[in-house]
Amino acid sequence: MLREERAATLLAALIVLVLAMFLLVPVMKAVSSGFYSDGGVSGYWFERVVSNRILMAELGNTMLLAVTTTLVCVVISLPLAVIRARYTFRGLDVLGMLILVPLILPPFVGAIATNRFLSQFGVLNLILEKLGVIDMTKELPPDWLGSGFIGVVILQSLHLFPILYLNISAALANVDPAYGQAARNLGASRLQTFVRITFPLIMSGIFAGGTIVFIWSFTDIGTPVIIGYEHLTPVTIFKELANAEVNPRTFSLVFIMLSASVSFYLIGKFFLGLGGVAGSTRASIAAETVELGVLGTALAWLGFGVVIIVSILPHVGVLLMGVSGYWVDSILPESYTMRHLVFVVTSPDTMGSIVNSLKYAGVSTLLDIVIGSVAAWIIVRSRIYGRTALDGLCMLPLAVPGLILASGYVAMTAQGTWLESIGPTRDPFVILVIAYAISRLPFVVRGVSAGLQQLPESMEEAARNLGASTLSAWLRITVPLITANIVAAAVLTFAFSMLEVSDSLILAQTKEYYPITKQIYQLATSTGSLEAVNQAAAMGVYAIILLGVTMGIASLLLGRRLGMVFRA
Amino acid sequence: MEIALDSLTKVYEGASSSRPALSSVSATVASGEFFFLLGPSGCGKTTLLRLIAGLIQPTSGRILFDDRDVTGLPVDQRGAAMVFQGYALWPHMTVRENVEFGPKMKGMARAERRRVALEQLTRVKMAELVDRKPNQLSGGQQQRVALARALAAGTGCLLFDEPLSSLDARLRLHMRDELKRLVKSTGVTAIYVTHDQKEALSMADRIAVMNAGEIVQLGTPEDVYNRPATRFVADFLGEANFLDGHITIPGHPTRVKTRFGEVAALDARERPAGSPVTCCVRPEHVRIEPVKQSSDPVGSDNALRATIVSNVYLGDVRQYVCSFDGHADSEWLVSMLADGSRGLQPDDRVQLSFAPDDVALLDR
Repeated sequence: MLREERAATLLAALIVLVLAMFLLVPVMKAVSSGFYSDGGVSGYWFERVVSNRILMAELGNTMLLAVTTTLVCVVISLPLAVIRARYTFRGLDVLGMLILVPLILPPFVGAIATNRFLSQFGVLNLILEKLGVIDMTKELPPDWLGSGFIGVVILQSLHLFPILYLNISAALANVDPAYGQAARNLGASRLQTFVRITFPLIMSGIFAGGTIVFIWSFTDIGTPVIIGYEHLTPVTIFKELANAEVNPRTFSLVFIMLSASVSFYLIGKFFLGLGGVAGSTRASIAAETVELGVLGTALAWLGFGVVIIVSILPHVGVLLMGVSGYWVDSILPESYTMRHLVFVVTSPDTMGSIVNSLKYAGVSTLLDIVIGSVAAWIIVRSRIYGRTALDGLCMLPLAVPGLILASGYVAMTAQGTWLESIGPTRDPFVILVIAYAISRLPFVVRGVSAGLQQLPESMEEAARNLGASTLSAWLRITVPLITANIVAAAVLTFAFSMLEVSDSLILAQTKEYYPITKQIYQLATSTGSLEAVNQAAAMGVYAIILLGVTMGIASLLLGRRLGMVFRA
Repeated sequence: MEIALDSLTKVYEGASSSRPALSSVSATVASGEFFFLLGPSGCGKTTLLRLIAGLIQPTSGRILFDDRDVTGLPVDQRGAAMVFQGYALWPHMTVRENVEFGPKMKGMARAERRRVALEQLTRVKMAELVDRKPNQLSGGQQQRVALARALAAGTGCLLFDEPLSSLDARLRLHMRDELKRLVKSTGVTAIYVTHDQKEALSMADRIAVMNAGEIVQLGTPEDVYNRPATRFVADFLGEANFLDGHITIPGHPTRVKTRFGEVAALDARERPAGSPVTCCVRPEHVRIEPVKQSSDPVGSDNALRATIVSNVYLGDVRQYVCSFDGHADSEWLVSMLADGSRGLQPDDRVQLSFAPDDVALLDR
């Protein structure tokens, strides 16, 4: 066993070294760059930032956006999670899975079609006019997007609510049904029981999911820039970094964003720790679910159905835009064409970006699977000191958004540094692969850890006991038995990397090395060609098809266990 | 294969308690012996088994297989096949693949390992189900496959970690007999961990009773049951009645003076006069007779007057709880085969008697 402990310690040290080099050092570099002026440490730029009313107003907007998105997500996900936990009805399993689909549909892509749907002369108002609700000839129709704030909230919420749904569902499953039954037994109504007993017990789950949603929304670049709502701190940082304006002011903003993200992450953890009452309870009795009748089933379907349809609507819009020939002032396109789709696979720029993304995502997924699986094994199976700290370190990318990590890489590879040749303006293959891999590492570690925790250790011990070496037991017993988790983690990592936005927009500055999302951004915001937006949508179509195919493969591999992908 | 455990101590790093999981445990298991480690949860019996298997390392001490020190050998080179609690059959492999795994790891040729696997599966009457997956088998069948897998490894000893605990009560009773027969037919040395005293008493050649990380008594089932070394052993291995006293006359029998009368005990251990001891008598060794009048003369030694407190009918046996006169805190349990009558009733006066050979003297 000593031999194994030595190996585990060595591997853990290697992983810590990798994370230190590619996560901690870049972040520290980004932060320190904001406090460096005239050859010395200085708070000058930080003071300039906090005294700048425009920048502070943007920070306020960013906060407001994140808070609103989080609240909307709670409002959408809480009732759905409660229905899922407390009732049974026909089609529950299918709906339970479909409700998670928005999680893999990138809001960045959906945003392309949002203007088409919600602008003053968009599809929604055209439908309302057709229904006689509004009359465009007499008055200007309502502008649903407003400044763009609402559009960003809608898109982010429709993408992120499944995260809260999953967390609340898990919290509900951990609440001993006996608590509720005791309250009912003492005269509480169903509503009183939920408000006074269940809700306080699932607060930790709401905070846990809410923290992730908040940080995601707080640091999102892709959705606001496509919608055109740009009065946000992340967008300002992105624009300055994208213009190769590597100045201390930008990094002071990065420091503020990082401080806020880490604070919210820690608050989430703190609440999770304090409010871990539900998590620590053990069900003394089996949960009793109520079987819904015809009317109840119909209402449940309506609730789930509306959310699912509205969530995928922007992506349906992208599909239509990708194949529309002429689409002006009409609810649906007046003519259809394949030329945008053909353009994507024939134009060197678009096709090149797809190939680039496949390379970046493929290599980073491979790295994640190797590093993440080894880390999971050390965390779950080894007895070495510091394995809990390793777990915390592997989860750290959740608190360090892509925007901040990308800023660190920009600072590290700035002109004049020895890493300039792998910087954004040169060939960013290495930094993009590393950035993708670091950002997605928590998914793999959590996914594989979950598999290892479910697999009794005696399975591996039995193999070792019958003469298998550690490696042989791992390859012959452990890996086959947790294949579902590894494949699920790989699929999730690959799909998310293919459509990664923050790192891609910031770290790829040369057309030759653009990944898909950067190419979509270029086309969607291009003013050079009338069809550029349709071409961006056509790329979005391929992205959606890619996700569909990936999930299809995962479904074939995993069968009914596909749901695990979304819980990894 | 003879297995010798020499002063084994195990302290878990980072354990909340400073008490070692095992404290200087020594024992020798003879070749071909069916040896049981018996004790309550947390007594260290599974730790000891895992040390023997090589799954964990001792803090100090040695393990010898046929005089060969195997303490430092990793688990895959230890040669002590184990039947795990819950079996640990690999669900992605068929019964055959599970059983062939050990021979495969030894580098055995395919045809040969097939033959070995089939031989062991035939031994456990599972040859018909070789192509099934573990989840297509009943609990008893899984138990047999786990045994076949361990046997097919061809090691000189077998280790069992509570292998019957996952089975229901009826099947457990059946498997006890079958498992003992199978293990004895192979002639291998076997070490078996259980907390079920009936399992140990009915299957073992010898039992090591463990408590708090130590072996507190080692002997044949009859020894540990009838001659418990400590009050813990007496209590853990079924019901026992106790009576404190002092030795008045050492010898054979030893005479002990108690609060309720003289007790004669045939105990091999020499103790000087005046030694404080506890007399231990099993309930089934106590005879109970009604006393018609309190003036009836008390019989000879080992006859104590008591009053019936309760009468519990259990179908095959009837149990009486008796209290010694005027001392409600000192109660004895008496078991006897039930007959057709309603037996003695509460408040009936009785005389409890027992043979000197049935009294074990425990140090106080």
